Amino acid sequence: MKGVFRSTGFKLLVAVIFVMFCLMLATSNSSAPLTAKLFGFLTTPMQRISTMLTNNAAATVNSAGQSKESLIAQNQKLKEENDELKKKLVNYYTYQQENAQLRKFLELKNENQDFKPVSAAVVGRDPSNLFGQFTIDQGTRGGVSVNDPVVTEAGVVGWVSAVSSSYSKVTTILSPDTKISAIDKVTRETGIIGSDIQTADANTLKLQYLSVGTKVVSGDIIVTNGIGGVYPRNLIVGTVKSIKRSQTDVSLYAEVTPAVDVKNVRDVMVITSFAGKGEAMEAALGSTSSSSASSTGGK
Amino acid sequence: MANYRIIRWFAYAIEILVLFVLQETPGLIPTLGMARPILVIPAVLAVAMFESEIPAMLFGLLGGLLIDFGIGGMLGFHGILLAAACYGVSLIATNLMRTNFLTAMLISIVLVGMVAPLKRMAYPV
Repeated sequence: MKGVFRSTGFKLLVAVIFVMFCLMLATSNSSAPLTAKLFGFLTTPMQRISTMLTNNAAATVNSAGQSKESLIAQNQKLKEENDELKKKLVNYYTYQQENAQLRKFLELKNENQDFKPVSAAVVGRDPSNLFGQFTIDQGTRGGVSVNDPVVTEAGVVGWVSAVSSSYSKVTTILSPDTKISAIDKVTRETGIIGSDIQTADANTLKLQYLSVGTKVVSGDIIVTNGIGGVYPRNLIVGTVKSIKRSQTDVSLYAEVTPAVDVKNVRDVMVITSFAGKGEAMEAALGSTSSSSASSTGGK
Repeated sequence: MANYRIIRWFAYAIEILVLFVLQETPGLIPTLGMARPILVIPAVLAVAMFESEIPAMLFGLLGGLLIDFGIGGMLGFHGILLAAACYGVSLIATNLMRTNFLTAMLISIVLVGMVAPLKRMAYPV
């Protein structure tokens, strides 16, 4: 033991202590010093394997220690839990879609305070119907009635042609039965939006009865003008694709691409009430009844 | 002989590394209350009992740095302690003490008893 303090080993120990002390000072404020990274490089892969083996072994030991009955019960419980979570997931997606839909409808409602909308989902679609007629999950119980306009946040879809207590049939704008009084938002020219089997097949509409000197051009936006009391004004119908000459008379018509893909729409809104709804019909009915009354009175 | 010594040192290094990995693996070694074993300390002390001062010190340094790395943050605290302790143990084992299981146990207990309070000072909770 004599001469320990003069030995090379002791000098080396002092040097190591000094270096380590410097390392302590250098790394006291550093979150990941170079030396730590070096050790990490060496040990982390080994630790990962070790942890994985331990976890597997622990899982094996746990399952081996349980009886068959308890495993069956646990399995059953997990299946039930899984089913419940699946149901919750379905509800989650439903609510998510509904939320997104309602947000859009809320924007539309905010822009049109007089609207009384009813949100509806497309629940049936006849594949043989060329005009995209479909069934929605709202009926008279939801406040829907015949002739109510059906829209989305993008624009007009169609109108309610038949209604029962819990569902309604919607005739789309592609149907020849649909006639909408419309206006070109740019040139203020008016016309009637209609369709026939050929345009419906091409998924387009016709803005009919344009004058020969029409200024309607491709790209113009066509909206409802509210006349007739079936559709509120300023609902987008579509954009002009091209101008063509009518084959039956001297007028021109514009080919219009609908704003809504009515053949694939999934969520819609039925506007059950709006300012000016049914005014034209009431007026027409009023004039008819007054004329019949006067004729009766004349007898 | 020199080759044999290098192989032995290499085996020691691997042993220390494996023990470090085992002690750091969560859930592998059961804990007793809040206490968990630090396998590297008795390993480097056992190595120090059979090696000369300089290799003993270097293995102590390796073990200490690994423990520091496991704790995270500051490096060097356990490195200094174990390097000095292994140097001392090697000297004692060479000149004053027999090397057997009992002495190894005693040295381990004494050293852990010294390291624990110092560690409290270096890493206050």
